[in-house]
Amino acid sequence: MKIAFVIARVGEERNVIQKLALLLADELRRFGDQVDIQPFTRKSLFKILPMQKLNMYDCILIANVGLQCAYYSLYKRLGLLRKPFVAISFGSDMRATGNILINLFNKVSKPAINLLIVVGPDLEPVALRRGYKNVHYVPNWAGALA
Amino acid sequence: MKVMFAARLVDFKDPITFIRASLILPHHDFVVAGDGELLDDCRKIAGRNVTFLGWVPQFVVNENMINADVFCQLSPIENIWSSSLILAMKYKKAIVCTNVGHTTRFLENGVHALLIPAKNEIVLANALVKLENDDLRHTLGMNAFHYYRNALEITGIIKQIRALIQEASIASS
Repeated sequence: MKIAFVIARVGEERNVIQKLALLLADELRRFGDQVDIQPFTRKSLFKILPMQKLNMYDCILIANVGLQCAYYSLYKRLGLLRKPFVAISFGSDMRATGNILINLFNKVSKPAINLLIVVGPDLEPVALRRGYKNVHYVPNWAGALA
Repeated sequence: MKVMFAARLVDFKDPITFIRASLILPHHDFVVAGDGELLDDCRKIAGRNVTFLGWVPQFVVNENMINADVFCQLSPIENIWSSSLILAMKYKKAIVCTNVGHTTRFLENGVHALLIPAKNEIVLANALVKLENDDLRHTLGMNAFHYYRNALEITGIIKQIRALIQEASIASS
């Protein structure tokens, strides 16, 4: 598979999500997949996405339903990105149901996401309550951090 | 005995109960790795037997985990799957964990960990005293490690994720 993997805060030592996402990318490559990291920063908001290039991938994988997910989702909702979206939720983006920004990111992203993978069993009902349709739980692979 | 807590110092992880237990067991060494909004509160009530590492890089957490005898996972809401809990299982540590959320669906009390009620430092201290027994610590650590090997290793999980991605790609094409 050819996968474009959108990850925010790449290289930030304190951010565990980006570390887990990069580990996932490495492991997918070991299975023979082509995984190209699309680093996302707030500056990315002011760049136009290379849609033609992104539409050549089999799917767009996104780490966490944050600003990065909402941003890419807007392009998909406008019909400019046509590939399936798979988002992986590590928890902070789902549990904070009282956070206005997180709720907004979820609201914008939800219609674009074809599959939501959650790394905690408690996140499955939370995601369903938020209106996601295709939600699957897998365990956290944090053991690979050691 | 060296007892470790590694998490953000926030209500969701409940470091306060860990610190309160340290006051009951002054001859045990307690180590806290992590920072957060409760750090000052923790420092205020902690005795001399508590070491605060603050936020430290992953390799420092790993080193401290290796040197610890017991790891504590004390969320009053959910422990499954905290990254530190998984690391403790991988490092064959005896674990004391709160029996909240989905914890008992995955971990069996007395087999993979000692499961205790949340926010109760007396029960936590009692569990730590129980774990002064070398054999019990070893057994719990090995059981947790076998669970890790069977269910939490990255290769098996990535296989699941790949299958899900492929399924989603086919369904939407």
